[in-house]
Amino acid sequence: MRDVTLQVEGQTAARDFESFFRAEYRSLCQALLLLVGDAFEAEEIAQEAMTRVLERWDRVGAMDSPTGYAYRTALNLHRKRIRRLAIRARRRLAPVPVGDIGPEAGDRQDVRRAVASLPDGQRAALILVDWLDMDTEEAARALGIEPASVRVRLHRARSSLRDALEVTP
Amino acid sequence: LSDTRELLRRGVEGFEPMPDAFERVLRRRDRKRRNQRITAGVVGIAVFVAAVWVVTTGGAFDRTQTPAAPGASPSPAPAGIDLQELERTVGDVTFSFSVPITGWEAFEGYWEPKDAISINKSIVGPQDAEAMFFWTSFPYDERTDPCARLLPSGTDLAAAVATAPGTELVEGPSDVTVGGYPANHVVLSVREDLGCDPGFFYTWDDPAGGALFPSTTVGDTIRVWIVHVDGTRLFLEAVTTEQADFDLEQEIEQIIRSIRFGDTPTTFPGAPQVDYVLDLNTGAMTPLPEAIIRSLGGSVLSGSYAVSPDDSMLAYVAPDDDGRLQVFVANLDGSGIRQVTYDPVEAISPAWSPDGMRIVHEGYSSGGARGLFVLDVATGEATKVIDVPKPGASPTFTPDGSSIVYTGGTNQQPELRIVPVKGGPSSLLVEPGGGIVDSGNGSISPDGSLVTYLGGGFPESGEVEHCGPCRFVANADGTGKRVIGGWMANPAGTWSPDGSRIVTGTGNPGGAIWVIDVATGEREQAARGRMAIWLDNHTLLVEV
Repeated sequence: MRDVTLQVEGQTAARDFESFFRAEYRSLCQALLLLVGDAFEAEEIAQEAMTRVLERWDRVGAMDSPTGYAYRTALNLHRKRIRRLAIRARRRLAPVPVGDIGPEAGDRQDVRRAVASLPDGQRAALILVDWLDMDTEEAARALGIEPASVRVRLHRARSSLRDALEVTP
Repeated sequence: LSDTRELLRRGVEGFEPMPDAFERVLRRRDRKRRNQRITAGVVGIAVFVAAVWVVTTGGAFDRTQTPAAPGASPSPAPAGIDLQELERTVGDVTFSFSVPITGWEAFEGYWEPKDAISINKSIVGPQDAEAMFFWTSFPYDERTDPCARLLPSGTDLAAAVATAPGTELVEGPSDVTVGGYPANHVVLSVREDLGCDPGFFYTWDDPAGGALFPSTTVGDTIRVWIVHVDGTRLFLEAVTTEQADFDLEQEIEQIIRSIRFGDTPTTFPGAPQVDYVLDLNTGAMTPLPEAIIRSLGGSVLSGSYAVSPDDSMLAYVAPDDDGRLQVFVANLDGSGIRQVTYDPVEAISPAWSPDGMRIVHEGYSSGGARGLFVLDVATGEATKVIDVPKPGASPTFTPDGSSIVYTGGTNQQPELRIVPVKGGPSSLLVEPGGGIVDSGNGSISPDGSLVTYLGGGFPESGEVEHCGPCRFVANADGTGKRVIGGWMANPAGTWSPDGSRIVTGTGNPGGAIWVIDVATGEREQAARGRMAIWLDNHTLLVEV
């Protein structure tokens, strides 16, 4: 009854996932932190995304880019959550009064607020490309839009962010 | 790009992921698998989502405070309603409540650990909720939501009611108590479509904002309680639609009355915190031998016991060295523990054959297909009997040992089926009918004359208005069915050996373990725990 080959493969797969997790989890959390603006929520989504990756690891582990799958899952979870709850959970990222921006530029809360003030689509494009180093084609696949749209969103997001933080390009 | 990246880097400065994130992911996976198993075979029937809104306004919740009366003890369940005890923590507040188990399920949103909880029940699927409750403290971003203009800015319930758009006051505002704490209560009726999805009707002056989000429509009834627990306001809202034509009001009231604050024990006072043997005659509770407890590995998926016909051995599920669930056997005294399956994925839900020589279980073939296997305990040789694509098949032998009863069909419409041990086509064991649309989680009585199973729908018999699902007992051919009470069961040990009683649980820690007399329908809550099986006619093995 005992299938030694499969058992060994199973052990290897489990170790593979753990290696993948250790390598990618922090980056995923950071990207989500920028996306949702709340560390706890970022970890919630990251853990759920990683759970889904684990559940499908036999298939995902064999993909060219398991990392891409994890990010796509996380983005979908984020979108789904917003749709389902129909609220915007941004306790720490409420609209930023104009007077709060300039003097404290550089502070991480201000950066998060500035990122959070971007429209959803622009923010996601910015994080995928400028933070995660995806190319626009890859980001487009993750977001389900055209690469050209990613580039437009990216341009607007960078401009808005710099304006908000009074950074000279 | 480098400038932007540097800006973004500042945004994540100081952020450290949880050190035990990997273990959390493993636990989350385990929990999901367990929930899948618990809910597999149970068709969702009516939605009743409940929510409590928690807004921390400063000050820690005082767990030492003794709530004032009323509510020193939970109200008894209305006739025909079995309860499941749930405990949740939102922020720093821990509270428990009882949920009528018929058709209800805890909704485990991934946002739950932080802010929100819901439970639901549906007759038409989760997209057509008939009622709602929430626990959350998510803020509400007025900047982006088109419904923001509808929100009043009331600082108390009366003000909120007065300014709630499109609603009519039906009852209150009144002062009541919930869980022994003062609360304000009001009942509203929705008189016009609020034009937004969701149709918010209330928020308050908390800096973070906040709004209930059910999509209310004309005809909905909204019940609101604001409970003042020291420095914390808990906001409870239940929304019922016009389609909620069975007695949801009674169930809502029961939930509200059952709310208690502070940690709740998940076992009866004095009961062991590990799986134990309960003598129903004497009340004696004896923990399982330490060797068996140790072998369970602390996994919430472990357990699923089955006792051999001669009462000498247990079969149960526990993780192997690689963390995969396998079937183990052990003598009742804890000696002779050995792993008997080496499944490439997992082996679960063991049940003994009447001759005590074989064990049927769910498992996977080396090709990865899920199925039911019959294992020769002495030789370890296993034979696949039939493919079962989904988990939750919960197989058992028929009393003559010739066939296996299991839950087949789909998650949406489970069917109690039977298949010969030697293989071949399966057949439907219970034709639901009579307003019941499905059947599952079943087993045949020791003498072969009766069958018990879960079924959902609207029984034409009128015993209860709605089953979401109910546990039935029927003749073995499916005729003469009647609602017996109780809910989930471990088919490997549902029936007492003399066939006079069945035992049911909920699958959740702290859930009610009911012992039900088959002839009279009389029932008694024997314990708290996830599940229980009969060891002999007066002894249960309780999984905590």
